[in-house]
Amino acid sequence: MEAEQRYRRILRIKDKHYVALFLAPAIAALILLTIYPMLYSLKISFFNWNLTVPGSQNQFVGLQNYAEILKHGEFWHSLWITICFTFFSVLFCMVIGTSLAFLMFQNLKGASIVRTFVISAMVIAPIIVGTAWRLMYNPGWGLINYFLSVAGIGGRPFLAQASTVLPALIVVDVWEWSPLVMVIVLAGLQGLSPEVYESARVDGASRWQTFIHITLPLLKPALLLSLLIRTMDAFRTFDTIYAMTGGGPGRSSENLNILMYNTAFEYFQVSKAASMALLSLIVITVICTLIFRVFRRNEGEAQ
Amino acid sequence: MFNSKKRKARFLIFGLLALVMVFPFYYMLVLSFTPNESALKYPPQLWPFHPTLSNYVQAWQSNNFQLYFLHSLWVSVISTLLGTIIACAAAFVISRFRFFGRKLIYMIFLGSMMVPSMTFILPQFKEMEHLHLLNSLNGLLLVYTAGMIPFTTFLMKGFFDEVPKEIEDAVVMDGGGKWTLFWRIMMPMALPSLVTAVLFNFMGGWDDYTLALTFINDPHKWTLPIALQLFQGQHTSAWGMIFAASVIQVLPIIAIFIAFQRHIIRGLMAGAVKG
Repeated sequence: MEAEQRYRRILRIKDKHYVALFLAPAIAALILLTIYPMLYSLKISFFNWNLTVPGSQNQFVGLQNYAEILKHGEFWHSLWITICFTFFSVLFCMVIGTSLAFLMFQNLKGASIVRTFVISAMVIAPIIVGTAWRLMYNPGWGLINYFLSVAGIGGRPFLAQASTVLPALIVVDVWEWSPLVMVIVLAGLQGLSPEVYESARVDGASRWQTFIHITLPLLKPALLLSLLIRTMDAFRTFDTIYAMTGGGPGRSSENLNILMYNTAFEYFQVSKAASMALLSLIVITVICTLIFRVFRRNEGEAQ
Repeated sequence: MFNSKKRKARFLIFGLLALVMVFPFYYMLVLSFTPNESALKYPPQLWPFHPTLSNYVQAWQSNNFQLYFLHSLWVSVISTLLGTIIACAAAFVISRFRFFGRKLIYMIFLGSMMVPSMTFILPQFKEMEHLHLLNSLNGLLLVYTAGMIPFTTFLMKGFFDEVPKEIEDAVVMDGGGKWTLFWRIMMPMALPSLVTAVLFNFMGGWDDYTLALTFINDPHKWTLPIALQLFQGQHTSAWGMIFAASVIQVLPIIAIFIAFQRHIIRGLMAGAVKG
């Protein structure tokens, strides 16, 4: 043991240049595309830069951008929309994705064909997803209103009404990304050993008990991973919403990403957009940390 | 053993769920084979009664479609190759070596996975402008490459962490260096995780709209998702053709997915789910 450690330490020193060589490209990419942009955003967020006003990038305003954003309603409105969208989308994705994973795990006839089709939702480019659903939501001849009218329920212009646009967009996001949860949970399921189930059966546990007390805890890493990935992705949804409503009607589907995009590229208030970006980064960091903490704490209790 | 009626009911519910999930894609396929005249009929057609390939032919031959297809292919393939290799190297080192700043670097990788894509689009835009990489497919490719690195590193580190020390030691005893260990031993072993990473990375580039829209203004350099969006402006009611184009766009990824389905599920299991 001691000999091995000494041996390893020598290796470590000898391999220093490998570490540098192997890490350098990744770190270069990180600096170029994350760290530098972050510092740059931080810097310009203290200025009053408007792309249409020459020289405005040198106007230092301190924390004024942040103060303005926090004072005016549009940021809070978009934050609220983002959080609603993220919460419901992630919730339904987790439930449906996990259910689908259990369905696929049964090795039914034709499961692999169905699986391929289900997965196709997630590989379609979001911009196409948006187009296809816009068509299906069309109040005149769209499929959804047709089905509703067949069922005897009056259709409505889902994407054009402030009250229905968010749920309609959530449906699309759930459709698009439940398959991802399915794939990850399926991976977790296939990693479980069958002995666990068998011993539980022998102990006389019911199916439901087995599920709650054995399967779910064992699936925790898979569930946590899909929860985190989904939360991050739902929080930053852009393409689909942009293609379907562009944030409308009015501002009723303008999430943070769309607000930031419009602020920077429609109104050219880049400093303000940068401040918003950093604020939203703080929000998502807090959310992800909370999710992580809750999962960790439960783990502690279970043991 | 268990109540079979209850079981049947459950399968029925799940089956219905699967059906609902499959349906929009099915509808896209139907529309892509339906002649344009009958695409907008009411009630909507759920089966192509007069199937035609003309939508596909038309889509493939119009609006520089083939050029955009090639652009997308170039950008996605090269960025996937670069991004995956760079991230694997980083994951390998972070997983198998102990060095100063290791934890910090890994935390930065994890942190940058959270960054909303829109957050840094403006600084990145300015940076690209500065480097004269705006309106350039190679510039776009670099942005994609960098974007892939955090998740791939995370996925691959999860796998590398699981490889027992003994394998590493055996290679070293046999006189192999770290280079041999990485290329000859670790990478082949990591194949399922690698396939997963490659697929997700390829999808990232192939399906991206926002970055391409922001960094490329020259119509001669557009990629497929941008072109598809453009199609809608130019052929407002040619839904058959729009969806034929979309199906052509989706096919490569579905083909890869079908070919590597088992690997992908195993890869996620070996890497991220356990890590």
